[in-house]
Amino acid sequence: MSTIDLASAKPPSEARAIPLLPNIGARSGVIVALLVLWELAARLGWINAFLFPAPSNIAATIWTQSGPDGNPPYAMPMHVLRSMIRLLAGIALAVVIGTVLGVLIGMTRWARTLFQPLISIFMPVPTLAWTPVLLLLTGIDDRTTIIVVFIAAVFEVIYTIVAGIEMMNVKLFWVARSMGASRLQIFLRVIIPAIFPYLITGMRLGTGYAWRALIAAEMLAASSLGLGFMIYDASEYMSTNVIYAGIILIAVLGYLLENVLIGRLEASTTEKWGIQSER
Amino acid sequence: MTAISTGDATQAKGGASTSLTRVAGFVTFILPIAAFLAFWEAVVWFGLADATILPAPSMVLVRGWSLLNPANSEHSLLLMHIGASLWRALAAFVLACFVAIPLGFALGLSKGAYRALSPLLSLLLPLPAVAWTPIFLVAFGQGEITIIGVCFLGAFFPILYSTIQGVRGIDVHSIWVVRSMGAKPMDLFRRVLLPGALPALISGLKLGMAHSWRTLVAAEMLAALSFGLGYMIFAARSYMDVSTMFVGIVCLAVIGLLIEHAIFGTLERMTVARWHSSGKVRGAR
Amino acid sequence: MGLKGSGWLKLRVFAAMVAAGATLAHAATGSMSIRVGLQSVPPDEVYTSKDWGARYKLKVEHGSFSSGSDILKAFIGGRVDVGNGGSGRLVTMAAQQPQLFYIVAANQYGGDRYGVMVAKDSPVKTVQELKGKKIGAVTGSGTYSTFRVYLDKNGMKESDFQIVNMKVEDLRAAVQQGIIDGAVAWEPHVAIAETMGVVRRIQSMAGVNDSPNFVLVNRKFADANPEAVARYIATLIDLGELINNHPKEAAKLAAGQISKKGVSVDPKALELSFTRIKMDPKVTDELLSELIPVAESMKGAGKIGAVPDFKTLVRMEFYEQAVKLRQASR
Repeated sequence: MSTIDLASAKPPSEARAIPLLPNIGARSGVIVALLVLWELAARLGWINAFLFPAPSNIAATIWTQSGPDGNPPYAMPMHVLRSMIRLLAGIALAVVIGTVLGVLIGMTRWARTLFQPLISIFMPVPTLAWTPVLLLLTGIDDRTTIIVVFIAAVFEVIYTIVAGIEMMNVKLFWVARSMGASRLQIFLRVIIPAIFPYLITGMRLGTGYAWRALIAAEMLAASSLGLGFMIYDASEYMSTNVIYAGIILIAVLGYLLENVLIGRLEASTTEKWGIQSER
Repeated sequence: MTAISTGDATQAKGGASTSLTRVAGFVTFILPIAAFLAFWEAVVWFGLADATILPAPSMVLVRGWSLLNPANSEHSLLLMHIGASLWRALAAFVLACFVAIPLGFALGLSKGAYRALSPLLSLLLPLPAVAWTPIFLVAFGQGEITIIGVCFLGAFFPILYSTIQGVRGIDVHSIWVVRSMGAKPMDLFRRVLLPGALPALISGLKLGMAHSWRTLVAAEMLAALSFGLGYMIFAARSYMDVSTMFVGIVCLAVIGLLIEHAIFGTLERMTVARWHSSGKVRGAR
Repeated sequence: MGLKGSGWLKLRVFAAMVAAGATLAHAATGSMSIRVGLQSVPPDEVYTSKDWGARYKLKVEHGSFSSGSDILKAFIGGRVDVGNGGSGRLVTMAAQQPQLFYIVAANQYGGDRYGVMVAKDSPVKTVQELKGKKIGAVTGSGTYSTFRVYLDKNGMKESDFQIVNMKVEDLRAAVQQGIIDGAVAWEPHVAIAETMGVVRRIQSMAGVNDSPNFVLVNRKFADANPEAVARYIATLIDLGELINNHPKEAAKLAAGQISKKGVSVDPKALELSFTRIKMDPKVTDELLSELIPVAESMKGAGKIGAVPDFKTLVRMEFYEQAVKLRQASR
């Protein structure tokens, strides 16, 4: 994944200009038009309504599967919830471990010598390639999917934090030290605030990767719940309505997570700390 | 990514560029990796990890060699798996280039079209391509079409997005100037649009190929009928042949590494350096 | 899982679209060939390893699939002429589209191909001792249904255990690492894990039921090519004899076939596995009657409307013809 993330490929100013609710209304004309066209085409039989079920049917599927009449009851919210729990657990792990490793690599020579080569060989491994090994090692789907999320996100966190420390103003460090600050004080008062915006950026990029990896990992490894499991299971039974419902939920949730939720968080930290992490 | 490797750092620093510093850099790079492998080997040999779950590196190496060695069958099985995987990823990538680059130029040049389609793009961009697999499975069943189709989608959006960004990043004045000088559309394309969009385009290609490869791993595990590294890993899994699984994973990793570093790294250095003061692409990271 | 009901309905629509064209085209040529869906299970590997049709001048076209359900999908879609189905899916098809197929032979059966395994050094010796502990299983599988029948016959209930739903490939490592205390799995997974020396089989499901799989043939194909179907069944009888009477030789063939994918498996494990599988294509009343309780429980769960009459779907004349063919070619 490495290198360039899609979101980060946008210039920073563009990233801020993510259309929020009022804007979405004005700009979603094409999406609405496409949906109407799709609906018509499916209803009038221009396209194969089995492979491309009408959007209204997909919406109806989402509605019934979300309610007590779903099979099992409340199926959709349960799938979404399980995916979210796995994502959050994995991201939380990645933030904690990634921050520790990032700070170590950024601040100490031995950690840099030790970890940098390892990271640069492990980072390009397709995250999904770990799934079969993790299934062997952990056996149970929740652990496997959470670790996949962790792996997908942790490299981004480490990378941004190391970059943040490298860009940190060395003078700030000296000043603090000359004023007699202890190591712990420097760490808490200088380093943590300085890397915080980078951590958030790393989290945003990491979440994007993690979401993709999670969906795929759920398709491969999960045996009961999760959106990835839901769409793969639906393909076994050829329920295209459910597959499309899942794809739509995955797209919308992915968008909300990466751009709106964490994007907001990023914007507010940038405002508050007055630092912008250039990536 | 490369930025993080000490190897590069030493290389950049060494103005005198003696081969000695290069060797030293290489040694400091390889040492932790060797230590890691030795640790893993020891863990298995001393029985702290079960070889039927986590085989030692030496076992993986032996298995890898016996798969690679054509003496055991008519062909080198490992090379056939690798070939099948590479073919799929490349086919998807090339197809994606043919569709996404022209479309990207068109959308990048037309403000109206871009504005209209960008909400749709920003929704589809973060959508994992693997999520399309079930639809392909229902429509085409398992096999080449499904795998290549899913990888195509994986490569398509990053290439499209980067092309649009590259074209939109070109200074409008330079287009006007060249046009007012009476340049033909083809000249305009060759002299202004292409060089201007190239850095972003190349990072898009790199990203597209990386995505194609990463998507392939999942798609092959879900939909391959014969051959391919993802298929090999899953076939080995169902017969509990753990060493072969690890051989597959190592191959995926090494090829991923080569695609991201060797091929596109070189391409970037060659092309971008020609048109631009290098390093501009790295702006994204 | 949850979404099956509506799925199958869609399946029928889809099937109808594809099936008609494909089979008609096939019938028109009248060639002595048959398209068979196979998956990567040891008996199918043996079948792929050599040309079984040569003896009867039958061209067998293999299609490989990753699971039984994929074969059935292809069968319904008309992409293969022969499929095979375990209890649940077969009952669903018999209830929803009985006009599509005939049951012409039995595929593998026998309760011994399901077993309960524990880690090698576990003190547990009986299923009884696993009460209150974690048992891994694929809860939607025929294996698990048989396990439930076993519990019932031995005065135990599902709720006596903590059942963990997993994929069959993950069970061995999970048992080995103590993530679960026991696992219910099918062959060859039990035999391979045993041969690796990491688990013990504490209980076989032999005698609980036979949980048969049946060979299904597309009805239009069979009506147009009865001879091809008979010849195909003759090859199945040959295969069954090899596997049941010469498991060692069969295991060698299967291991050789698997190694062509780059996967190595101990032939001894496959041999052990073959001794636990019964392969006799003859459809008996006992085997057929095992579908009834499955169908009744599915009817109870609202998955099918009525218990289908399976006997009307069986066509034994192909098997009888196959027996004659074998005698003739001896």
